[in-house]
Amino acid sequence: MTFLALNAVSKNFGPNTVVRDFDLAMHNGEFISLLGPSGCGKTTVLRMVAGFETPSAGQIEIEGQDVTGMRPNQRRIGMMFQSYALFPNLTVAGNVAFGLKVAGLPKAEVAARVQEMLDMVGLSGLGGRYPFQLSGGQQQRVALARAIAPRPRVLLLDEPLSALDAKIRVSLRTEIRAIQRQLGITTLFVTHDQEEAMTMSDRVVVMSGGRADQVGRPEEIYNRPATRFVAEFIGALNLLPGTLRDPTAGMVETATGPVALARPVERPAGAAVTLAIRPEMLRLLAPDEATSGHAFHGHLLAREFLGPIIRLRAQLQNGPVFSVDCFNRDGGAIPEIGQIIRLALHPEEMVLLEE
Amino acid sequence: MMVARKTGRRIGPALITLAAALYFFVPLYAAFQFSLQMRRGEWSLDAYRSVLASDVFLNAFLFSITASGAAILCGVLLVVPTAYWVRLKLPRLRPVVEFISLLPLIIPSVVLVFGQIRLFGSNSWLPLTTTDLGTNLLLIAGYVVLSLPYMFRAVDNGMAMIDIATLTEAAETLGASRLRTIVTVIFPNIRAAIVSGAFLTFSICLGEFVIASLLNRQAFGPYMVQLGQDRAYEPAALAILSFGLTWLLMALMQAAAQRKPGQGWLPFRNKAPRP
Amino acid sequence: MVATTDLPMNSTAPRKGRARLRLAWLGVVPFLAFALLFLLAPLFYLVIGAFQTPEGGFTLANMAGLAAPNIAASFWLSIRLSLASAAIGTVTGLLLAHALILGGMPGWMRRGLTAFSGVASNFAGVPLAFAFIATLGRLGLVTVLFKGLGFDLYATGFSLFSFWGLALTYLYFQMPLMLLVITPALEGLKPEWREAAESLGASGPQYWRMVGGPVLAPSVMGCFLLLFANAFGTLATVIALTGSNFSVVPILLFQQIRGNVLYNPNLGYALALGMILIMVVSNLLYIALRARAERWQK
Repeated sequence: MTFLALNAVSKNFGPNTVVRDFDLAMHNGEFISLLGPSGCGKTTVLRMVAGFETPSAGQIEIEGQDVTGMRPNQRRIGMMFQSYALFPNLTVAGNVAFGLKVAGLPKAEVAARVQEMLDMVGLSGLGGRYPFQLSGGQQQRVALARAIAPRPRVLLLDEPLSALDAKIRVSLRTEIRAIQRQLGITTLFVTHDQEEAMTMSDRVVVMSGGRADQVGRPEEIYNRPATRFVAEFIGALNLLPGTLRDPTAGMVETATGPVALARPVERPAGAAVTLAIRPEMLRLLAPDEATSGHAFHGHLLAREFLGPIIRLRAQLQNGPVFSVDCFNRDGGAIPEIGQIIRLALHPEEMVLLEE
Repeated sequence: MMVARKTGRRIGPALITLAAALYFFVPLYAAFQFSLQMRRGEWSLDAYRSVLASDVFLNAFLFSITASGAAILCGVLLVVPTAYWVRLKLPRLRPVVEFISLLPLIIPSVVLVFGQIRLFGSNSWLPLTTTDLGTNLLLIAGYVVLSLPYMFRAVDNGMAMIDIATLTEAAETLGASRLRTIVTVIFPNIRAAIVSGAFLTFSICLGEFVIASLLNRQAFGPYMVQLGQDRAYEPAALAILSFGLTWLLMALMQAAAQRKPGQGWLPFRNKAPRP
Repeated sequence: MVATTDLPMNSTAPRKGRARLRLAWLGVVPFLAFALLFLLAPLFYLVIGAFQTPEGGFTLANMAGLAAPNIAASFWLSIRLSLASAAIGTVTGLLLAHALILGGMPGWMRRGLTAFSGVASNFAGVPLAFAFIATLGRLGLVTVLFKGLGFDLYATGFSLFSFWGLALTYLYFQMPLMLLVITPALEGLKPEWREAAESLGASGPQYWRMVGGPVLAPSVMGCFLLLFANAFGTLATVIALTGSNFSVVPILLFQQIRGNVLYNPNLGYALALGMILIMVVSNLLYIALRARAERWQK
């Protein structure tokens, strides 16, 4: 059952089309992230759901009700902003109570709900403080409490973690997700941070140029990117251009030699294709080790120590430079710079990107 | 963005803006039209001719220009080194200097000049008002006091923007003497602020009435009041001229404040490429 | 090396530093001397004089003299005129600023009126009075225009040279000043607050009552006091409009200095002190309110 639906929604600002033909169907209680670089239209989608922008075309439904032209204060949504947007003249409790008072709830009920919300976000004792007396993380917790206090149908999060310190960002995202699960509230989350999108979401929508490039579970997005943009935007990636020699056998001719995909490809022979390989999928082979998969030959250019991971830069024979990630515990086995190396890869871990 | 949705709501703001614009425009237009009516039955610039040809006007105007110029010079010499020194060496004194500088905003000029006249009057310890020169000096001092808030704020803001402490340290590590630092590093960077303060001072002092009148100076302000009592059309012409002059001064001030390093003083002769 | 230089350094450095600091004070002597001579001493002289007899003895008679009917009436007139002018200026300036900043007026209009306000707020004094005489004087453009439409403005009791005429003239620099000083506060109202309120179900009026209004209130009050002080000290415009017939306090003091009336310098000192006190009180209120406004802006 679709709870929130965007049907062929477009938005123009003057001559600029910011969102084009955007479709999305959310289930009740689902957490979906809109992920993309700045200017991809993700915030505009969120603001159209909130009612701050009106779609130029298309339709938005919540619980089967068409809300496209409805004013924001009629939609029963909750929203969190990057800048917290707490009312500076109201105390923490006053901020959380705002939506409840506007809705005309009796005083006792307001007080009880405010207390419940502050307990939930872990700010029980701070109801009497003013926003300027709180840290950024605390302010955003108040904003969360304020947004969910009136029991909205949909929770909209506009980069709520971007202004926070790295540590608080991680702890707060866990907390937001936990509260969202506990309340079962349908949530749309806008971010440019792929780690946030991957860790928090049921599904991720990767956007570019006002369109949804791919909609899928985080694993799908990462392991099976549908477009070159998705593949390049998420995670690090090695690209190897080539020509399709044999579609049925999946044979691709590249500068560093033939590569067998070991699966049929639905493209004509002679088509230009690009192979995409994640750095962590490549494995450094010991000098005499045999492999059942494909083996790239080259020599080591550089090594960077990143803590848990050591990132190698390998010059492939007659080919491009690849990044290779090894675990720190393999550190002892890593050859010296300039030494000849071999990199092993299972054919199914190669993604074929179409031009 | 919010507004595009609510086109209907723009009528209110548009009406308010229109009413305000009308209120601002009508007196200027009325003065302008009135100033053209000196000759019966036809439009003419006689009122302007009559004003500009008068020796009394010229003398009063020149006197006020000289007094304002002197006030600007004294004000700059007083404020710039003080503001620099306080920022660099005596930050604890800043609130005191700032308070003193803003005091003339609170004290009406009539009160100020009253105190000065009594303090420097004929039988005081420093009888400035007994000689012409002394009275002129007192007038300039009064103008410096009057413009102190504006000059100090302009210069201090200018210094805040360039972080003079770091610039001074940078110049000193490169071997520059204190004087050289001030002349070649600090001054060029706050020149725009000084110029903007100077124009503001000029626009305040040029038509100033109270101090000049109470010190019996034949300045532009008292001249205008006298003219207003004696004539009908010339005052309107003066109002238009004054407004034009104020506008010009404010425009120059804006231009000075927004001028970027390397940019020419005239908008159409820019040397620096725009970003 | 370090050990040998350590001791002497420790013993001389503070002394040298203190000497430096004492020398550093010399840098502000010209400024302080000027301020003392031409700003602080004259004020001090007036304040002392307000409590002295002409012979130099202490007295409260001068201050008590402020209660004399004509002087008290002057103060009351000044205060009423300044309150009225400040109130009208505050309301109209706020409306204009709201229309320009939040009402979605085109940018050129906003820039134009802001630039004009910079000029108009400095266009006080004598020329302003002339412009208004040409507008609303007995032969002014608007007066004549209204007469042509069958509406005699002066028959209604209105006069440019009366209380409301002055208030209307003051508005020409009060409204622009309000626009200039309230603009930062209005721009400080974050659009997100409005959006947050709307997403929580609040209507426009509810937002203004619960958030926008309370956030703006200290700034508006502060600006009101600034306008009040501005009007209270206005003298040149009044003289150019009414000669010396409209006895607000600055006019009274002006005539007192000229020796036209009263002719008791010590009562003049008291008059000056009265003005200073009113300005000080209104400015203290302004500072207190501004501090409150800034607390929220953090």
